[in-house]
Amino acid sequence: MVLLSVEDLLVTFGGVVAIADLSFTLDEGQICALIGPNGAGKTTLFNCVSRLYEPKSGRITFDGHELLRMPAYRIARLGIARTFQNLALFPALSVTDNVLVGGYAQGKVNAKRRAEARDILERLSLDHLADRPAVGLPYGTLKRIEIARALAGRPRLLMLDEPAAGLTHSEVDELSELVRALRDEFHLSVLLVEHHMAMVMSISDKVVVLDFGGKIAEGTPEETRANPRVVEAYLGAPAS
Amino acid sequence: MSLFLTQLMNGIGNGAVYASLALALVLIFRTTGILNFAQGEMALYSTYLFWYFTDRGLPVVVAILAAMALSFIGGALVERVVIRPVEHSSPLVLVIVTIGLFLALNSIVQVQFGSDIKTNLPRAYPKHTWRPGNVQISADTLVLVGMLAVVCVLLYLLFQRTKIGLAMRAVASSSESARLSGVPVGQMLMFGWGLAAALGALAGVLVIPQIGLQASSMQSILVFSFAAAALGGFDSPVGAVVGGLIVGVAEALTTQYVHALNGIVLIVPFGLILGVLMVRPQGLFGRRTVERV
Repeated sequence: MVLLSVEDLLVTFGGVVAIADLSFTLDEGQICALIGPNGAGKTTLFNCVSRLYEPKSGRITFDGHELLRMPAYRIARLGIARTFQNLALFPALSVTDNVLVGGYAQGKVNAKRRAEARDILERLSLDHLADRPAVGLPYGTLKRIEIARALAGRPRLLMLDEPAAGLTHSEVDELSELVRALRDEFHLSVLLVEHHMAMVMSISDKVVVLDFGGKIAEGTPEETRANPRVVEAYLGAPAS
Repeated sequence: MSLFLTQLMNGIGNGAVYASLALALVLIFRTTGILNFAQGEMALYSTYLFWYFTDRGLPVVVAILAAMALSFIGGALVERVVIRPVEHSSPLVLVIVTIGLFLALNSIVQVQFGSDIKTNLPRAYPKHTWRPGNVQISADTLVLVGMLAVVCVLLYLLFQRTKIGLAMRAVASSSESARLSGVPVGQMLMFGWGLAAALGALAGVLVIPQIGLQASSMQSILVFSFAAAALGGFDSPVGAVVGGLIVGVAEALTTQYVHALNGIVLIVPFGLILGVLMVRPQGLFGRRTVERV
């Protein structure tokens, strides 16, 4: 079943076309990676789904809802949560409070919600930091807190913006495991923007390749890897 | 010695007023990043409402609660109607808007309620002075300090124990992230302004009956409150309370012991603001902000 569908999306900033007529779909339970060179429009797409950017035209539907007709704060209620390339936590708040805000749309902050937050922190091995303020914690830890905050909103769609950036090799392997495991445990679909190709190829069910705001390929990791246009976008055209 | 202690108590009483108004300033500064120069005039308007209600025969406590409730609504409306359209403008624009609001409210009360001094304000409690030893402690001091203590406890519970408090802290920390987590940021800002207005109303109705109600009643109080917030740190509620008490005591002791400054006691808060800005711009309890360039 299609969970998220992007149709003919056009985003411009002044005269610059950031996304040009992009269409693709994400099925329920899928891990779909968006890849492409810097500036290809990947984060721009995330920001359209989060309602931070206003597309010029096109449609984004999530589970039958027209996202482009909703204010930003309603998006979380529909079951869409995200993390950021440059972290966007609440530095002054404790780790637990950060996670609780993530579950804002879930109703009252009561003992049950606190227990859920504790469970999520435990699942991500963050429970020992529960009462610390987020400010000053190491980068890799902050990235996991962002994932914890996103999970607290009980999302159906989790959007991860470059989760592997800045992590060490072993941390990236752990992260790949984690994303797959979380998908199964929390019944998520995942939209992933990532430059780390080993991670993308190992965990994705589907890969969408963008270049200059347009889609140049879509398919399984194997198919896209073999696609000559993808190779060209990444490595340049062969000299003839 | 007993004279000193008497003045100390008076200072703490006044300080409690400055502290509550400073808390209102901090509340707005933390959530919207705005220095609300109109905070005093908002409290002034609230106090006129209080006077109006009692003049029409409402019991004092009911009049206080009604004035606070209307102030809450008024504060929320001010955020929505006056501040929201310019919230992303430069700090200079925001300062000018709140100064405009200051002037507008000050004129409105004179048009609406007359520019004469209202002296017939009822008191919420009887006048009384206790004399343990030779120290004089007035009922005003006890009521004001008690009010401040209750306000602090309620605000603490609101911010630490409730969902709306959590959401407001999140908005204060990063409004964009809060919005993406599903927090209706606009509603939170309206709530914050409403809360600040209600807090100012409470301070106004308790202090103004002691000094008489007229259009200029809140102006020097606002200056002292600004000094309190600057001293404590504009982003720190604890700082606002400590700063308010320090400023109140400094004022009372200066009045008593430094005769050269008689009649120009306002020099105390201005001196404090200047000193804080030169030595520790973030205030005693404020956090230094480091900006990435």
